[in-house]
Amino acid sequence: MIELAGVSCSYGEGDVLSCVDASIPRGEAMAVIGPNGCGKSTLLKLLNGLVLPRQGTYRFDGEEISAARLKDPRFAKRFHQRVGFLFQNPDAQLFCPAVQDEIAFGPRQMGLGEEEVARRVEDCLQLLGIGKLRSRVPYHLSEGEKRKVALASVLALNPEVLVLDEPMNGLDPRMKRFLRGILLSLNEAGKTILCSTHDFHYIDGVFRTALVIGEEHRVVRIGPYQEVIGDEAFLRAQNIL
Amino acid sequence: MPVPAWLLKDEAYLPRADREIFVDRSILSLLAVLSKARSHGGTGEEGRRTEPLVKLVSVFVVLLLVSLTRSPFFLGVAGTGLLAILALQPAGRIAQVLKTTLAAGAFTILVLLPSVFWGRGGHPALITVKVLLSVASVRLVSTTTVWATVPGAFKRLGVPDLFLLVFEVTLKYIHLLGEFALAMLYALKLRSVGRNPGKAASLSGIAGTLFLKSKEMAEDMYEAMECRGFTGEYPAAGRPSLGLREAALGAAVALLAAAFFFLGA
Amino acid sequence: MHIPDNYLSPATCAVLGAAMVPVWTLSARRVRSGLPRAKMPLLGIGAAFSFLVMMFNVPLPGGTTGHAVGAVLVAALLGPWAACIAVSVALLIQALLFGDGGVLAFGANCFNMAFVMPFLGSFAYRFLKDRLRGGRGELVALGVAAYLALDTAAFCAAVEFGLQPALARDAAGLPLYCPYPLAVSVPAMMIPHLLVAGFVEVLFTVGVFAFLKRVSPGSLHEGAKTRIPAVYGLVALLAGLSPIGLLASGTAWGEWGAGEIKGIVTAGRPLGFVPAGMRTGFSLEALFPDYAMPGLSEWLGYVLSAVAGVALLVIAFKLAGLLWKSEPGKV
Repeated sequence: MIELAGVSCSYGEGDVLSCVDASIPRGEAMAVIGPNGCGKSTLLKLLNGLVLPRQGTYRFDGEEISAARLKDPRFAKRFHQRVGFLFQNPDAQLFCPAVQDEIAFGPRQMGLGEEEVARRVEDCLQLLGIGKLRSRVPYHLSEGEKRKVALASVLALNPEVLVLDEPMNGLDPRMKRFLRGILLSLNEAGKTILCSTHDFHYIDGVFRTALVIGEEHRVVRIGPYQEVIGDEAFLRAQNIL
Repeated sequence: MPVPAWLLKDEAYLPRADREIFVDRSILSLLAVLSKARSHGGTGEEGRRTEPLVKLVSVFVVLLLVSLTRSPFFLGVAGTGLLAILALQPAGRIAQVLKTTLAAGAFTILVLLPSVFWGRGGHPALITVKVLLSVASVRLVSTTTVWATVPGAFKRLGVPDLFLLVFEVTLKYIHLLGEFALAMLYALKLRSVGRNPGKAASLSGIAGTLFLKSKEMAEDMYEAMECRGFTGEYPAAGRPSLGLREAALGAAVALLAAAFFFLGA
Repeated sequence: MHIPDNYLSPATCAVLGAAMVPVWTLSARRVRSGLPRAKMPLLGIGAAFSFLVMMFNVPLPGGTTGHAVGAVLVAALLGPWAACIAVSVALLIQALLFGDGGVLAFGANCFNMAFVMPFLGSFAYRFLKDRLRGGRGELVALGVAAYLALDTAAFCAAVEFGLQPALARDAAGLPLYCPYPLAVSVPAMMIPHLLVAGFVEVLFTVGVFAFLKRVSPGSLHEGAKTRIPAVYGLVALLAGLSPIGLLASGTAWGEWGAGEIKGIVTAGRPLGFVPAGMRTGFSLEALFPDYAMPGLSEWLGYVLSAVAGVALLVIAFKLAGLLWKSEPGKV
């Protein structure tokens, strides 16, 4: 479903991501790991079309995602609906005056009837256990609550792929376990999950594959998650452990 | 709670062609601002630079002379000097300066064009050249000066501490808040999957949240400053270093001033 | 509405800059006495906010977009005195470090956007708010105040531009800076502001204020609650606009050699514009009617051309090197 061929990205001087080759099938649950500054966030932004490759191609469901293609508003919107992104900083994702407005924002844009929108909002609120927050102001919620609201507002779009940038950051253990459960359910339901993380303790069993980016901004390994995480020597050499 | 049915199947969604120009344009403006801020005259690692105070005073004198002059010959002298200094800069910096300068020049031509056809226009070519020289001078200073040293230079010129402190904080936070605003705009862009009838409301939400974030950061900053014994004074920057480079710049400006008076205003 | 350099004569810039000095001094004093040092970070961050607001592209219904100044919003959020400092610092950074807007014209831009706009906006908002009851009334008052303040600021800029042809002329009577007189500058500036930019400002100001009122009412400026007798505001406004009057009255002393110039102008086209030398083709004299060549200039001219030529070549090579290095399709 997602094909990266020789992708390199740069912001000016030097590559932040170099010669990335990856093939991610539908339904995959992949963890993106690497030391700070290796380019994890850039890779995730690339997958969402926020950043374009300097070199190489990114194909989503067979179509190349390029600047020209994204200029077509219809294509861009459909693409953004199919690939959902949870930013590292939940504050940056919330701009509506109430939680239910935040969650309803996406479905309303899709032209679903008010009933359908209300149903989705309710379902998302219940799924994430934030029913009692529905009329609250997102800005004033706690870190964990904000993340839940942000996730709910992305899920409401019903994306096929869910990309998460360090979702465990700043969450307490209960919240982390909860998030783990959600990710498992969503993957079982057929969603493709791509997640950058360096918090390995609470995400056991969620990921099948791991993609490791090294300090040279290149992909150094793609393999079964358990194998990669179990290889302590390798992780130490990559400055991940 | 089990996953609801609608999440289990793919969305058969065909978007309408609605544009979010304002998001893209805002993103572009912010990116331009942030990239200028990122390369703000470097981090001071490139060895000793000309004293910012001398540069600021020089650029002010140059701007004044250029603005006052009516002699194209004087503009030629000033322009040549500027080109010479520009030629000594690294390529990237030259590109930065020229980008803004040429844009300003083009804009000026556009604005003054009607006056040319109209017949009673004044000196459109003179003004255009002046604009090019003025913008280039200012850009040259701003790309060769570590921005954090500017408040210190102003202090030597007698500007009250309050303004200096505000200036310093502003510089830092244009960067931080700018990145945050950009992230918000990207988040909005990614969730703009259809027709948004409340575009202005979305932007208001972003700007409003940005303000709340500013307040939060301001309170955090105040607490941090209190903890570090802040007294409301801007630290004096020591004696200005006046060496060969400063003398050279001073001499150049003095020559220019002489040229100004000699060639007749 | 940012005025660049070389459109206003240095004298105009000096007058408006001088007018701002007492405003800045008073603002600093007011802000310092209002709240202790806690205010200072907020001013800086408020200035950063103010700066970024000017970068946003605001969508109007119907598809057009525009930029807001945001001075009235900042005044409603932080109070007019703090807004004055915040907007001034934002404008200074814009002009000096980002190369956007004039450095010499800094005083004029601050006068329009950091003085007239926030103070008039703040006054109008409080005046109307007391007379229009209810929460809705508050927003309407703010909207009207924002529209009024922006358009008045634009009008000030238009007047500053429009007075230039009368204030600063060369020996032939041609304007040295902005060539458009009031009859042109006022409609040219006011029409787009009254029709578009004003509404952009209203939409943005009211939108953000309404959002904040709903989401975090405590973050709004408390000073907005006091009643102002109309008279004080009027007096303050008139006093504040007096520099414009000073500039206008400057037309009297700006008319150097008035009798001579009048004669030339009323006789038809100003002579200086089409000198006899132009018959032979395009020449420098035509472009620069005042061009006077001192005797020393010839060899100096050669030296300068040589220096300029070399500099241009070096610049061209460096830029070419830059383009060569960057590959196509770079992010």
